[in-house]
Amino acid sequence: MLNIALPKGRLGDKVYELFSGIGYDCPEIGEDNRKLVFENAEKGVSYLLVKPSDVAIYVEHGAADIGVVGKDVILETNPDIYELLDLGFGKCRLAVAAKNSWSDNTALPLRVATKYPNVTKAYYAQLNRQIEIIKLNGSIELAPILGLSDVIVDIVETGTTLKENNLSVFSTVAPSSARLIANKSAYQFKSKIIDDICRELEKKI
Amino acid sequence: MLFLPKEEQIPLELRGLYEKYGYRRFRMGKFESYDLYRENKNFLESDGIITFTDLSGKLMALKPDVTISIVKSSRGKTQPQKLYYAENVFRLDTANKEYREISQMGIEYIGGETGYSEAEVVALALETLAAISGEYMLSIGSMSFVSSFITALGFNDEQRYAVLKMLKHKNTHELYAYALECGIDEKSAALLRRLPALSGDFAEVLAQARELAVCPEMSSAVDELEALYGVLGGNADVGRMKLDFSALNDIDYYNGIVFKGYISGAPGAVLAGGRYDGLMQKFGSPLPALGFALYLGELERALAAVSEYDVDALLVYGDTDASEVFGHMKKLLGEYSSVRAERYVPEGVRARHIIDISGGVGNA
Repeated sequence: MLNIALPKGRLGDKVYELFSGIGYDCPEIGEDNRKLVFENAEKGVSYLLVKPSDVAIYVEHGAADIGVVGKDVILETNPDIYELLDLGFGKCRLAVAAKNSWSDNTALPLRVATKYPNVTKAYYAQLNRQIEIIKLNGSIELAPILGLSDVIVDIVETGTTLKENNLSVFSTVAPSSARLIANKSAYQFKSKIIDDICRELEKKI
Repeated sequence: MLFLPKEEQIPLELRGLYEKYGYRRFRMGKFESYDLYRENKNFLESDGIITFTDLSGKLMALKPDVTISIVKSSRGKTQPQKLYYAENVFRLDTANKEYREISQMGIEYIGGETGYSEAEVVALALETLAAISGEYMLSIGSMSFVSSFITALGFNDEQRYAVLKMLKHKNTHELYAYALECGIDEKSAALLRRLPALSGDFAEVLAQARELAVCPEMSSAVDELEALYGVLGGNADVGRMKLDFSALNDIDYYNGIVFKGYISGAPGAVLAGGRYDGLMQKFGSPLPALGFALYLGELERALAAVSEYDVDALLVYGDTDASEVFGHMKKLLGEYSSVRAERYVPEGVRARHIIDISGGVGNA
């Protein structure tokens, strides 16, 4: 049995469609219910629906054998896993954004609001810029508007949210998209089915 | 010994195995001078060393690693040494930002060359894994193959680390893009791109690796792997061996073969090892060396059998005469795998059998 961790929500739906398109369907999953684990014993797969930011944790600890997760999460948590495939969708970038009128005052440490403290630290360390991190869990865009921070480091997809709030992107930290990841130990014992999935998915993207 | 839980029995079995092959136990202190680790930082897998000052003001460290200490102690020796150890090391668990005490066992073969010595160490790694579980896999790679490939392609030092990290994660897609970004020509980048996927059946992958060889060092690395496979073929369970070029260790210290061992059910590698002639040279020793370490901490959870009962038999003796209880115990110890004697049935104790000689008093 291969355990596959999918991120709950839109991305997860898309990933499931992709998997069912290569023959690993699981009819139960379409039914509207509150179950978290869906199994198709005949095909030898079971799907777990978890919070997107937790997918890498499930895979790293072996609770799931493979999973699909955004590169942004991988960069932030740096899990010890195999990153087998770039699925090419869920494309976005981690970027530094601030109020349109912002300019950097290098006399003071830069206050950065973000959900990605590790990525942020590494990015500014490499620029030798001293920062103060303000860790937020949502509505990051609010921080510069209210003066809570100077800039934010966050996911930018289309930039519409930023524009509507009079914010703009000042630099790109890293590009991101959905990645297929695998547990290192599970890969040793289930490499046949995992490689097979990889090959089939590669044809679809 | 017969009735010890598996996670305690295995270390004893393994010590027996290493002793049998003529390895001698190396015991070490809990502390080392901090400088030893500072100078060899890249050899350690994780940062974060617990330090303190000793009475003379010297900075000391709780040892995060055993291999470095063994290599240090063998400085100036010219004769081969076969050593094994069972020690606790202290490391930082980066995910949870806390220190962990990890129980580690391993062997070090100072002076171990290619040929029989190398095959022996790999065979012992296989036997070590087999002693733990029937479902195991040893992934073998080659540092010299990978590092000479990277050097031949012309990556600089900083880029080498980035490339190694991508290889470790089998990250083919970014590897290719990164190589192009570094100015590597498309043909070479396409070759490099095939490297992470080189994993699987030893003989098959060996043939594919030979196709990739772009310099003499790579060819000789393949020859070495082939020779190793040839020696082990008739003498070890090679079906449990895989060739995988994403099995890597630090590039400055390791050369030649590297390997990682996995047990089904444990999430990460439980065994890691390889040839570290580079570390030996750093300590001024001309001898080659190789070895491996088994992380017992990782295993405890995977091995801990969920037992339904705390004890096989519970003897309830109530007000029975003490010497009479002894008589009963002696008899029962021969019949059951474990026996616990109590005046009455304690709450929360799950016993497979209850032998009540209290005459009803014990159940009150």
